[in-house]
Amino acid sequence: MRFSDLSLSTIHHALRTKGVVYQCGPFTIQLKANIPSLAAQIHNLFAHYPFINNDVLINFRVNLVRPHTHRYWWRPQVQFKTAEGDPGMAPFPLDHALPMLEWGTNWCIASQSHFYLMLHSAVVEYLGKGVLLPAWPGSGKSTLCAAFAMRGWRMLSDEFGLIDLETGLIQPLPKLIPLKNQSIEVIRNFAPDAVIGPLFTKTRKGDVAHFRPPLASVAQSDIQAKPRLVIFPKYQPDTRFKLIEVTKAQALLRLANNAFNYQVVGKKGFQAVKSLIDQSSCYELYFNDLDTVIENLQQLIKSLPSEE
Amino acid sequence: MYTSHSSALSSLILSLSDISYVLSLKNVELDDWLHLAKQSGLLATLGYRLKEAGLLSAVPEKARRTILGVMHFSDYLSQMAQWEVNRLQRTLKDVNDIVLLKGAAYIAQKIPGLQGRYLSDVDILVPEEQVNQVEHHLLQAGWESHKPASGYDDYYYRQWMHEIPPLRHRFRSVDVDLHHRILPRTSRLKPDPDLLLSAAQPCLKAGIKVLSAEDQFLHSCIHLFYDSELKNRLRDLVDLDVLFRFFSKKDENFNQKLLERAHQLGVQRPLYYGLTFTKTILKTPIPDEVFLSVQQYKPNIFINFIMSKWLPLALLPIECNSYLSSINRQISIWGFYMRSHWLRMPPFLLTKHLITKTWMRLGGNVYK
Repeated sequence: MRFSDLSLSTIHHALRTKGVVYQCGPFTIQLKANIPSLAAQIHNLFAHYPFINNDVLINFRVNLVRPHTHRYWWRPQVQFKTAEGDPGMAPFPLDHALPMLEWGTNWCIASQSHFYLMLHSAVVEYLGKGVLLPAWPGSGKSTLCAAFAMRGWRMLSDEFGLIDLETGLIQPLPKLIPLKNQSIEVIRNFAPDAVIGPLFTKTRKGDVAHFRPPLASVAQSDIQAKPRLVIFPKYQPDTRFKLIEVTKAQALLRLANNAFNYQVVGKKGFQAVKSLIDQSSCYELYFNDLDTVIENLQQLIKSLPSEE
Repeated sequence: MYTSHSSALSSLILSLSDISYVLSLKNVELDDWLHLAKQSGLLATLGYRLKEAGLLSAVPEKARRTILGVMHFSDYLSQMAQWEVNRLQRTLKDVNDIVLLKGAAYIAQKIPGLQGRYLSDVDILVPEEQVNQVEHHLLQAGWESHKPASGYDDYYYRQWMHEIPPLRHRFRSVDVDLHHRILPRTSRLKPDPDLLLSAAQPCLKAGIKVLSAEDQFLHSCIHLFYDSELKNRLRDLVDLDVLFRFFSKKDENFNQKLLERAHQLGVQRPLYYGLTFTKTILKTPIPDEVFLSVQQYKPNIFINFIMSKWLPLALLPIECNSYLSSINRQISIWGFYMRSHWLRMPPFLLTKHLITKTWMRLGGNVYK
């Protein structure tokens, strides 16, 4: 059963009482919150996520609570609480509960999923070939990821390149994509049928609106992908499309240094990055036009040998 | 006595004495067990016990991944701590032997059953007259104090505590706590640090010393019952359980030495608590004659009643499902928090300290 099979009132009721349990990639998250506006946003944006109502193992237990102080009434706030520790997030305004939920769960994942090597990278897949797009915030990887997803690529994640330390494959984690500032308009124009949530203004990352991953990506989120291409993207206003090959040694260092937990997983992490790079071609990408990027990368992927 | 707690806590306690018990847990039970073990900081330790017993692969896939994840993290912490010890050794090679305490010492001795134990700092013990010299060397080599040198916290540590303010190397993430005794100067109990230092012994790691077996056990008792807030400290009790089993297997005279040493250091009461609570909660196999001989160190009947009734409530990770039980737990946690301060300092000093801290929290300046 998916969230789209449920009525808004069912979701709202569950949020207020025993919590809703949803599956996002490999993680099962229990969410409790007594915030009516959030129920509607979840109904829309979580529509494709499996809604779980039997007893399963829960990874993260999240509670969005309203403080029992004057901030319950006056300029109301919301706090992120989780049984797994304290992310140290300052309270958000009550109507920013969704961005808080998304950032808070990112913290839960990044701080406790050391079964994976967690690369700071968007991941997509085309014709069964996994593409990692590692980059610092602001390089345009979320925008690219949403754009690929709207052109029929499989979206695995916009933020977490989860490398399974046992299989060496990429584990999908199709979270909502937080589009920021101009990117929101860019994606609306690029794909008018994209489902994008309400605009949250003046968050710590500027204006944010959440892109809903397509059903096809969510439905395949237990199928791990084989890495074949590593692309370091950089939005550059005056460059339409430029692809520069990067040596494997350099790509390895750049990838590893951009990971959330490279030190934590130690030797296993090094081996995972090494075998990933061994199987992949590596490039730097400069771009200012999404369609051009997609066309060219589709050509590039088609030209990759089917199995190395 | 402890029958009122939840089934998750019972599972956790049972799995601590028999790791194969984990395999009998199904669905929700396993989830609750996993969750509580993680919250108590025991999941990595239990993961290692599963691995040692060859049972890890029999755990359901999702649980196994969660367990492996925390094991990776604890490996990382342990590696960081060992590297810190290595750096300390290099920096202090001409100054002093390094005597490790607690977690770092357990790692250095490779104590089975404690692998995967979380630790965030490295504690070392040095003779009081050498503290300045050692601190100087560390500061020269890149360690830094978090506390401003002229601030109240720095003053408070140096004047009253058993350690100087934590030092951390500017390129690393592990705190080094430099101790010159194991309880605050102002504490009611005053175990003589010179006795501890002179009995310190070499361990598996060349150039590193650890306290004698008895002293390690006593230190762990003291730390838990006389120098902590006692909230969610099941893992400290597990330390005691493992240490007792490990040392009494290694040395048949351990029990006798333990009693004598407690007497010599004047820490009979913490030993009484340590043996009593490990035996009653974790079923540690403490021989009857040892258990009987510590009964003489029991507190008076009133305090003993309070300790045995409320201490498990604060110490164990109890999930309260009624308002009343939650209030009861909060009171016990608060009570033991007050007790820990009461034991640390005489009332006048404590009042002065609390007033100063409150004043600082309100934004006031403190000039000493």
